[in-house]
Amino acid sequence: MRWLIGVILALELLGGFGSALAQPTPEDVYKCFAELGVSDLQTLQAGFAKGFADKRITPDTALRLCQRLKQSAAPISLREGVLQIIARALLEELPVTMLVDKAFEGLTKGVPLDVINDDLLERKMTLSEVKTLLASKGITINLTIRFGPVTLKLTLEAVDTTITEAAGALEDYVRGGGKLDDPNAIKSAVQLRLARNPLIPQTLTAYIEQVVSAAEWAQIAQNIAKRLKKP
Amino acid sequence: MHEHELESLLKETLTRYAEAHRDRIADLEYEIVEELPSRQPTPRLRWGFVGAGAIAVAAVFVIGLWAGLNLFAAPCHDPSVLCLVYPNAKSVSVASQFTLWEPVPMNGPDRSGVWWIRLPDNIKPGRYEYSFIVDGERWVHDPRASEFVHTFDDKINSVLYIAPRGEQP
Repeated sequence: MRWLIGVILALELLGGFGSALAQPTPEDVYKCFAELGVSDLQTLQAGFAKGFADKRITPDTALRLCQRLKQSAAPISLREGVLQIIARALLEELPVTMLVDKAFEGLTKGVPLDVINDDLLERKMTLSEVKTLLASKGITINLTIRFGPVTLKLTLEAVDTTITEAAGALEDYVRGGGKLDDPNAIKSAVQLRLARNPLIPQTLTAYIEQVVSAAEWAQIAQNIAKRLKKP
Repeated sequence: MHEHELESLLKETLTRYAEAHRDRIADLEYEIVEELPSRQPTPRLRWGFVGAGAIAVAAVFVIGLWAGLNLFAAPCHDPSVLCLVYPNAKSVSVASQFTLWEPVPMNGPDRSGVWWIRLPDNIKPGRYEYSFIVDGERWVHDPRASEFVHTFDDKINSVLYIAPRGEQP
């Protein structure tokens, strides 16, 4: 019986090592960057290393993005541009889910890389503006909100998801042709989006509704419209 | 009269009787054999067996009907299944945030021209944009989605929300 348990344990260990070996490491990602022939490997490494440490991106996702960019026939400067925008966002401690997602989507849909770069750059600015606005209201990681009978300590995931969803809602509102002179409609779009995401605590959504005004959301929407040259 | 005298008298009488009716006794065996089929007990219906048989036949029919309607039809009533009606398509894939926008082929079409795919079991709760790709080139949004967003080149992505396990979306 003992030998059987020993064999099972050995197989489990081998399986564990196997799956550990199958997971890409940061070094695999940096190797891919180097193979791509990027001009500023240092910034890329610094940004992605911070992203891996902060758990804002996984080596697996980063490696897949690098490999997808390798397949592109676009000039290396444009391919590197995608990675640089994400790396700089990670250095600025911004959530990058939306940027990574749009990069993959654009590549799959055959969108020209210069268009993808412009899109990512524009969205990065929106993420930054939303983060600044929420931070000005004290909505940052580890903030403890006492809202009515509920006390909530914000996690990095909750804050990042909130920034991503608010920025995404504003982007979609403007790109979808929403009226820029209707701050209440803009605020409603943001609040609805926050309320529908199961990763954002309802307490936080209610708190944001109280502390962020319609005019403040509308200001960011107007900034987006200017960048997108929307009337 | 002694007992042995009575016995021999009885024997004699029976022997005489048997001699006198020899013809009838000879056919007796055949008469009995001929009589047997007509005397067999009439089989009675066992209603328990009939009822069980009827239920079994009905069950097979219902299961067959259900299998026909469900196993070979896209399970679009299931909230964890994405469906697209596109009878003329040769292939349909779905690309989404949860596949890192890699196209994943859908099942189908069923008899009604419905293509379908079940969402991965390990999908995390959250908001996901997605789109269908018809015949490898045409991007099509999901008319059943509850939300849509504009994306590159004014194309439209559909949106789905995944609730934490055990909660309604």
